[in-house]
Amino acid sequence: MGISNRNSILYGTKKFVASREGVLGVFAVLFFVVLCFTSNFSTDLYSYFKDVSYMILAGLALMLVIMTGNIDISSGTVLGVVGFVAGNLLKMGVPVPFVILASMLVGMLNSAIIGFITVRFRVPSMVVSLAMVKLHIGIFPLLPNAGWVSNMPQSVIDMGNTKIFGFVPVLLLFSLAVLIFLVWFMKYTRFGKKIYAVGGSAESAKLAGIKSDKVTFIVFLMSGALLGLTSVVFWLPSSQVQPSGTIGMDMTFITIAVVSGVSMLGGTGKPIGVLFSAALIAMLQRACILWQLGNAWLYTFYGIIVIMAVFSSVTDFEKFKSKFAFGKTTSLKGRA
Amino acid sequence: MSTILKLENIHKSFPGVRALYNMQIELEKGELHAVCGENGAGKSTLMKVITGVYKADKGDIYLNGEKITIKEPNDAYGKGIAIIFQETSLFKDLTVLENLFMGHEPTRKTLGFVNHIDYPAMIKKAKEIFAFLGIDIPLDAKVDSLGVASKQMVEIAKALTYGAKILILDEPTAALTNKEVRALFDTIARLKKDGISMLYISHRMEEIFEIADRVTVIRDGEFVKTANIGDVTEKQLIAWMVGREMDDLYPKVEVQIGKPILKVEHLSKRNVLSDISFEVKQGEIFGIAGLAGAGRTELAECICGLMKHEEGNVSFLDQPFNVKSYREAIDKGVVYVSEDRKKYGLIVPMTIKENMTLSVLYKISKMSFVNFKKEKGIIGDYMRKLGVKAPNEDFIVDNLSGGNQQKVLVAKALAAAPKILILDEPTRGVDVGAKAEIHRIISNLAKEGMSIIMISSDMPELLGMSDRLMVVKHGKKIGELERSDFSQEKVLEMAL
Repeated sequence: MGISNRNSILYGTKKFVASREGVLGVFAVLFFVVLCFTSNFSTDLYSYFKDVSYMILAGLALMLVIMTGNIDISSGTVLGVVGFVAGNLLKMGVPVPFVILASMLVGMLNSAIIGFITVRFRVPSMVVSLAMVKLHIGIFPLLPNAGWVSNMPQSVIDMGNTKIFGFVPVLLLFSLAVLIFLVWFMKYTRFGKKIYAVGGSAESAKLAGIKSDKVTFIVFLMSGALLGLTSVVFWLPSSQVQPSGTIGMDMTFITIAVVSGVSMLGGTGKPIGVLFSAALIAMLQRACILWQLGNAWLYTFYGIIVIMAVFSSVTDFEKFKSKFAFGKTTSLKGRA
Repeated sequence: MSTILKLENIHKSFPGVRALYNMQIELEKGELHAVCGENGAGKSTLMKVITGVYKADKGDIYLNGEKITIKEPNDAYGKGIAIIFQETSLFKDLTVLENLFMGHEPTRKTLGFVNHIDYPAMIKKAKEIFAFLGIDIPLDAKVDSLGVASKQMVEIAKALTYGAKILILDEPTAALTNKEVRALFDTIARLKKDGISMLYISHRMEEIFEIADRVTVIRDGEFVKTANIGDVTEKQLIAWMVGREMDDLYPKVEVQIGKPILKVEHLSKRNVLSDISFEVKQGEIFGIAGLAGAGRTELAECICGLMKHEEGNVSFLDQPFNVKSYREAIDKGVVYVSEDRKKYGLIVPMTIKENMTLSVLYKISKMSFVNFKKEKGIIGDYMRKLGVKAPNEDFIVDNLSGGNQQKVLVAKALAAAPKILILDEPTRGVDVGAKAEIHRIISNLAKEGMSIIMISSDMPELLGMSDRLMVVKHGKKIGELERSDFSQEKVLEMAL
């Protein structure tokens, strides 16, 4: 942290291992080792890293939104919408940087709608984003070719599949760069601090002169931009865009965010945690493919992991006790 | 000495309640000015007006002789006025350092254009402030992990990061141990020396006499007096705080008082209640007096199973009364009417009818189907008996006035056919007319043989209605008074 004067290596290591990020990191490494020994995993390393690339970005997008006490269920299907736009632009020969920009704008537009309705009319973002999901799913079949964009230019596909050392996708480096920027952003900007404040306690934030609504709306915009980038990273290496394939991906993204350590109640969360949880979830997904377990098992694992992650955030036993033990002064809560 | 803050002619009303009337106060540079008054005298409202949480209806605020308006809390900070809340306003998931500078972190530019938070500058300033206050709290500790006293110190330090010149301390010692209080007073002395002015709200007379320079007494939202602390005695202060004539608002009905029906013996709960014993007789109105936070509500909650006590016995009609849940207490005839009617008493978006029968649905339903005829019967009775003023029983409770809401709440309690009714602040936020009606209802219930425990911060009400009363302080019973011995001064002296 640099704030502490207790910065011996031993202390730092201990602290890291004891933290959630540390636990996740260790877990991911173990998982990785096991898989290397039990399957032909090493040949799939490239595919794995490709998954990690888009999962990091989506995890960050969801983490930000959840930190303010909101949620975005449309984060899966919006990839389909963005993919349709971006795919067609690429086919029209628009240069990649402009396509990236356009993708971010489409993502931001979607999130802006959710954010605006949530903030302005006090509708829970859960409901608003659910409506957006239905809207997306409804629109897909109405698009030309049901939104499918095939025969993408080979040059674009090649660009998406650029790799270093034969197994590290360039897209991963791109995602890591975004991640590093967000780590910096959350720690070193006032706005980053405000996001923690708004999610932590709306009342205290107000007393500190922070405009919660404004912060929440901007966070939605940021999240939308990140989802736009997610789409680019997700679709760029593939030869076609198939929007309906994105249905249900939102749950994967929410899982990543929750496992990264963000509290569903808002106020906590660290971008670096997303790196580990994206690594873990992508690993799980790859494992289920390699072992041919199918989606049924994958979803079962997701469910178990989310429950474990949520539970581990309440295993601060003192907190747990004071919340559920008998005789707390708030014992009237929940009475009919 | 020069006047730094001056309030003149401040008026503030809430629907049905006059919170502040022609209030004034003057604060000098470097002085510690205590503000005294009973519960509900308007101290907190006054502080909230000064810090911009509420906007005064009328009146002027002068800072250093200049007239100012404070629109919101952030405005007050900007003008150097900060309040240290009883309930701290810190972010518990963030570190001490992040909390100190939330919203106004020092920034610096790297490469000439990347503006970012300057952690070294933050740490330096925080260390300076901590050294000045004489406190030692690790800056990277999470606020959640700190004790109450440390949190308070962080709050004070936070005020100083804004460059506050005026601090408002609202009952700062309420949750502190003796040692922590000494440390706080030490810090306060340092602040005073540095020319920082403080408004200090406290109920603890000995503290006021120890650290205050001047004291202002307010009563019923009105200014009473400001005096140098050397010129007054404790007795005088209490007399100013009370200073109100008893009126005939209270229709006390002579009632035949019967045998004891509820006995509480040595009730204790760590940090909340210690060794409380009393009896309530049939047909009696038993008052419980004390300051807010003295343990009155907790006592009631322990009796009726909403909270668990650790030691002691409760017996009811000569049977041990150890209920495990509030449901059981209702079934046995002990019903509690909460002080916070919107939070715990009524479900405001529902109708009068639905609220009234909520706790007795099992009595009027078969196999989960509500018998509407029976329901209507019950409701009609109470609507008439309690005089609830509403177009019909399908009226949404949220749209009723405070007084009528309170009546619905009492009706809901009565529908459960209680033998003992525990009323917690039955007339809070209710206008004068409705207050009298509620008092009439309470008197009539007692006449019908119901025993009533009445917890109230409204002294005239408590003295006017009760047959007997008990005073509690810091969770301990201070004493019991018979009706013939009642006086406001006596009760207040015991409670403070």
